Amino acid sequence: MKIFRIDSTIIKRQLAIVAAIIVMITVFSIMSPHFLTLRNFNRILSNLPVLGLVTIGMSLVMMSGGIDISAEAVLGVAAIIVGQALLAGWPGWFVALLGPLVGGTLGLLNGLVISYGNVLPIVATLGAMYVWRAVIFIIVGGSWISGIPHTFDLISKTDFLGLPTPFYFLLLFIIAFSLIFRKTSFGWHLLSIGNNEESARLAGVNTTKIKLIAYVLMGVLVGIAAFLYVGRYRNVEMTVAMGLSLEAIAATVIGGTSILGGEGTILGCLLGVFFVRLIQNGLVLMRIPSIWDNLALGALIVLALSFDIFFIEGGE
Amino acid sequence: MNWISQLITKIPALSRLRDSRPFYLTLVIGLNVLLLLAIAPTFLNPSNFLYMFRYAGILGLIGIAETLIILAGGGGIDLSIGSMLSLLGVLHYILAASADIWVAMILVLPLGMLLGALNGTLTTWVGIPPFIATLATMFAFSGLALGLTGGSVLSGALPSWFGVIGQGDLFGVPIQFLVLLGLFLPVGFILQRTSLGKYIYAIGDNEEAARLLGISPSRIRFYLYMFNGFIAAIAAIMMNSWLLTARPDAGSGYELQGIAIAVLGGVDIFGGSGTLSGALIATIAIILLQTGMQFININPVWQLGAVGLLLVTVTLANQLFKQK
Amino acid sequence: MQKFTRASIVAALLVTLIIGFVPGAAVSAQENSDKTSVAFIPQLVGIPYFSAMKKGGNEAAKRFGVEFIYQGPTDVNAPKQLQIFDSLIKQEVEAISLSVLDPESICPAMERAEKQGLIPFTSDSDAPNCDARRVFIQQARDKDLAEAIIDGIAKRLNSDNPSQAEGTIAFVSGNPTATNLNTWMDLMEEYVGASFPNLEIVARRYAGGTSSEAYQTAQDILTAYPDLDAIVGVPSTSIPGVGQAVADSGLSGDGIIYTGYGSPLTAKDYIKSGAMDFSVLWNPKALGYLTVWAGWMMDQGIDFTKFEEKVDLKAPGIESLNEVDVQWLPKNDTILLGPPLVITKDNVDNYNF
Repeated sequence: MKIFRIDSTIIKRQLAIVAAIIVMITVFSIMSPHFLTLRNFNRILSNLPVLGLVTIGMSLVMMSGGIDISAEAVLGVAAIIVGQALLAGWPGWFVALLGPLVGGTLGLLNGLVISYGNVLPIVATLGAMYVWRAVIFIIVGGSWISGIPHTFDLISKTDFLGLPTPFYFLLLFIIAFSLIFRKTSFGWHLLSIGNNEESARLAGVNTTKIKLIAYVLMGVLVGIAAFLYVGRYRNVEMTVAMGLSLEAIAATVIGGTSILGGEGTILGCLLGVFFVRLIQNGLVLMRIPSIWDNLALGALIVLALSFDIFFIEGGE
Repeated sequence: MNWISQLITKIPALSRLRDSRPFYLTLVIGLNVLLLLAIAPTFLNPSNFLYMFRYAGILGLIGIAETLIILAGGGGIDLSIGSMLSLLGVLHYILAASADIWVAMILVLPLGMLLGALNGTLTTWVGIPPFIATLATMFAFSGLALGLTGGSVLSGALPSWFGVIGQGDLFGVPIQFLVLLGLFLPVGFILQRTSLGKYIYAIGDNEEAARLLGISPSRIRFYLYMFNGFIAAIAAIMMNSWLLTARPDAGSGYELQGIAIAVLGGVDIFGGSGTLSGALIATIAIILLQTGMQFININPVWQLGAVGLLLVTVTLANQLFKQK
Repeated sequence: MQKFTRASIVAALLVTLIIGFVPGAAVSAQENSDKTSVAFIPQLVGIPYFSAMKKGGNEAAKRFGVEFIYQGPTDVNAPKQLQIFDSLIKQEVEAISLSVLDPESICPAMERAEKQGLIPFTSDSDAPNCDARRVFIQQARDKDLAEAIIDGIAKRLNSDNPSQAEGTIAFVSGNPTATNLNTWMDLMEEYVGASFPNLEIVARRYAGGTSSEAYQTAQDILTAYPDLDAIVGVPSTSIPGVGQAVADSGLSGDGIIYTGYGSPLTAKDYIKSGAMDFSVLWNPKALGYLTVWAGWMMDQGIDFTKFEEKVDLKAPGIESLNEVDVQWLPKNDTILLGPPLVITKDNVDNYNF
């Protein structure tokens, strides 16, 4: 069994993000009495899983040098089917499987076009996003899916041992994918494709198959996220999940995965997602006018990454 | 369908063309025109047909900007260009309202280059991957545009004569399209005929080799990001002139459409190959598809869906040829 | 093999285009009749509100023998709206109405339409300073809409003496550039400032257009302002998300006053569960109906602007609805649908829009 040696720069980079998170928590705590409370952190954690699962998938495809812009639209299509099935009164366990099934199928389509059709991921998934958005519109344009029954409340809305239940979902997947990633050849193969696809192929890696698997896994994860999404928000509208792909890409990169492929860890996803959500939460609690949200998000991403590059990589 | 493919292989000129992207796009345009003629004959009378090119102006400019930045390699891409357009439009309006419309038009160009230089600095000197650096500035620029306007739409200070750039015609040809050509021709010339153009292809093709020849990839890319800011400024002026209004969300969504145009136009996403004329033809194909569908009242959401299908089928087709 | 590949590529291209055009061919085949055409361009397609207007428009079209064209952008996009307006002019649609996104940029296009002998008018959202705009079909006065929300909150905070109601209010809006939402929030703030000395608006946040963002924003607001008395979901896109957040925070019922501008169908779930106290809206289906009726009337040569005083109008087909009270208001050339409709537990089941 091959175990991929994690580059020490990634660990340093993640430490930098941890440091940035600590600085942010300190600042927010000083600025708002409501920030450092159990209730607030419970809420932050309960809003992580949807973005978190998509980010794990995004990490997988980005490590192989790919990207998936269509993730938000795939989530939308899966959420529509899950929502409709719940409204139609289908049994919960079956509907829960339906999400990953739909996501996986759409992921397979992306994967086929990318790995067998040799179309570049950004092109294939950009095209797929436009197409699936049109499909979403045709299904829910005009009447949203609302009043979805409380079938999944137990999974998406309760607490267990003081932490939100959906958060355990995210932890479970983080741990599972970290293990798969570090203990099997899959992770190593993925990273070697991201590093140099041609030499990976020469070294005997079945690059077509590995890439296909990565996009199918991405789809499955997005499908699970869709199931949590419907359980939590109980409403699917035409604009469902708009902007989520870009958020997931940002979270992935903040978590240490290189946009050029070839390096990254699954654990980093958690950090990245937490970082993004913390900024959004902190801005509201510090009572900064909402109009400046985007500016702050953009500026903080630049600051965190510049810090990272100057102090971590520069120190090599 | 066999006779078509045989026809393509038999005629030498077509056979040479069959690997080129503009060929497919021209084919798409041709089919499109035929379908439109069949469905809505009035669409193609000269005044309607020329009118359509008005919508090619801003989209084409953004397409050219994305093509250039992707061409130069190094993972180059500019996600911030739509936000840059919005922000520059707002700045243009504020300058026009507080000083003078001419001053505003002259000042907004260097301001655009300044924003572009920020992207250039982050990507080339700081070393943040372009995708993520411009994603961050995309948030930042649109946030700044929103903040400056407080979310509201600015209007009232732009005189109606200023609308001529965005709304006017010259001999029936929309001025928006003439502005696009006015940028396309010199930039295309530089790209194909000068050493600067050769350098841009060289750094996109093989950065290491280019560096050994004494070309500085980061310097060239820095200037290209700056030039993107310049293009965004022209697009912003055109947008303001067209709407006589500055909207803090005027450019949203243009970045992805620009990338779609660049890719449809045949640029290699890893840099080093592609042409500006590909981008121009791709712009026309998309515009024809969209306005044609609009003219027969097909829902706009189908228009984006059709662009998506076109994107995938055209690139898939190209890939299948390459594999022979 | 090679031949096959090439042929399949050409086939793929053809299929792409045909998928794109066939639905339109079917539509335009029906269009070649001599019926009057009336068009309405919403701010965006695909949300229940405008779809309800479309339904109403279709009903009126059927009744009066008009061809109704409903076309709009897929996101809130002023240039795209302009593009659609121009396309309708080129098709010589007799009466073209729209819910204006950007009054300034649409005006030259309306002038072009008028020059061609077409009738440009507005509905739902106006371009008041444009001379070419024939009439404005108004759902309810903005001021009335703003006051209905604040009065409802004040009444629930202090039922004996609403003007002395004490408390804090937060807004969860949609896109920061949506003119109508900003107008309502400004008017609500003005009204609070002028008439309610002890009410305070503490937050105005923009949650974009998805329910997940509205949910997170509402949760963060509830954390940041633990003593908040009322929360307003301003656009219909915020209604489900905020309602869900209120319910999940255990604030349903007496915990907090939740209200907003949501259609009965969207708000029903939350009104019935007690998370939402009341919703303020009008009947968008009747508004769509009225729009097509007015377009048809004007194309028949009826000139509303001749009336110099307030007149009660009867639009056959909707005059019996009790939330509708159509009036001609000569000031600003407006056809008013009626007063705001306040939706509570008691009447939510009566409406299907």
